Amino acid sequence: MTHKKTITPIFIFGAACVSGFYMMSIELLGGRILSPFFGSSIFVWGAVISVFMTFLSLGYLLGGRLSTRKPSIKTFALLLAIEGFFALPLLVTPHILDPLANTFPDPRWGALVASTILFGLTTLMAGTISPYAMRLLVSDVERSGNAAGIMFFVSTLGSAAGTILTSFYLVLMFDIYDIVFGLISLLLATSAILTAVSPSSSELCEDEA
Amino acid sequence: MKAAMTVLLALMSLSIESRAQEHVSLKEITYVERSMYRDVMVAEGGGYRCIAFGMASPIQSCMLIANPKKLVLDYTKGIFAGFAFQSKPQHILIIGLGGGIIPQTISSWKPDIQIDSVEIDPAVANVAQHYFNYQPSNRSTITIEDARVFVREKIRQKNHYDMIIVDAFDRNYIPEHLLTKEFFSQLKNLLSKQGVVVANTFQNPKLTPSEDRTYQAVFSQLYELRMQTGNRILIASDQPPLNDVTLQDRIQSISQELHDTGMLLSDLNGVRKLPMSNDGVVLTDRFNPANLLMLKD
Repeated sequence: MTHKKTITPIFIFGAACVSGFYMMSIELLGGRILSPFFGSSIFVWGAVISVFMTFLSLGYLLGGRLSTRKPSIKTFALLLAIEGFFALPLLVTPHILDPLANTFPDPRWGALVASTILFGLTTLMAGTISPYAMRLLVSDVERSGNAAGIMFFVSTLGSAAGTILTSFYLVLMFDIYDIVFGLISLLLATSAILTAVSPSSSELCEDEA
Repeated sequence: MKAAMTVLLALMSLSIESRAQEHVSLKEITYVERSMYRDVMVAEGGGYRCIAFGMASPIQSCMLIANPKKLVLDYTKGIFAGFAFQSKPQHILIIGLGGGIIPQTISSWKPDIQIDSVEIDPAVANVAQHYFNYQPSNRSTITIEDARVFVREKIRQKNHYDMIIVDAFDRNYIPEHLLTKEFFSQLKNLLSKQGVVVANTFQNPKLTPSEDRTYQAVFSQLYELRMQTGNRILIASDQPPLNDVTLQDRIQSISQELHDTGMLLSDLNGVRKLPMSNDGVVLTDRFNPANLLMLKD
């Protein structure tokens, strides 16, 4: 039990870091995915960022709510997997964006609708990760602030890494679809690892403490 | 601030004096138009007025204040080599307005041509109108929009242009979505049967092979004019190749007709057909390291 007690939080923090990385990487690719259809004017970036912020905020609410119902690492792993699956439409973007761009001649509305369709659900799921992870980590009130601090630290640092790696290197080295595919694989792999290390019963970190 | 301006002016003088036949030395920043993209600076000196984007950027457009008809920057002359391949255009699209020098020169040379210009930055269009005599009219329109959005809309309206001039790059930055196979295919859809694309770009050992290859993935003919300033004018079309004598004749008559702008035959000499590029990669919407390639210069 002592063994699991120290290992499991590391995996949960790691998963939050991966999710932060994934989300900002996708957000940066967002501008590049949309620009052939809606241009690279400031409106397009505005649309992408507002959609991410909106769905992330809704995700926080959803994640908090989900954490009140039999929280488990397996469910947490499932949330990560769903987050990845919702990015699958990004692998067929021209088929989605071409008709959209013809329907919405105003690039502001076009980019807003396109961002919502392409990034809304995956960002919503990204939002659920942090509050759900908090529930899994927090065993007592006195240590909750510290756990929250580490949680914000790893997920935001992951976001920073996702931003810089994607903008400085990934888009210049790989096809956009290959990057998206890699990111989805990263989430699914993290989900699989979490499932593998999760305690056999429904016990939580707090049960072990 | 003062120090920064001095550095800027030094840079400007440097970049412009390196052009052999021009002696523009900018001394004073006349005006700065705030922009949501890059602030547009108007600077003057030695009788010239020029545009630069922000502090460390090279000059984009210049005019001789006492004689606005003169073409100051070499590349603006080089663009006219495109008319050797499409001698009677009726509709021209210009992507990237700058100071509006090119539409003004075309309009005063051939007043019957319908010119549509598209510019992403409203600040640039304001500066062109207030400092560079650019006056939009029925014959010369300006639309503030990203070129990809504008081109898509014009294709949908089934419009056609006989010439599309792409002047949206600078030495420091390329809007990558305007240098892809998909974009060039859209331009091809927008061209009339005899249409040509004329692009202002830059000589760069890393980027050039990929840029040529991307054009050649869409257009059967690609011609190039290298200028001393480091600019490279590309002319792409699906027309049968021009023989050297016809090309030379046409270039000669263009330079004569535009003599008032300060154009010399030597400015347009050296247009050559490019062989198929086998180096580099075809740049696409999905994979486009153009700016990275530029950095590696």
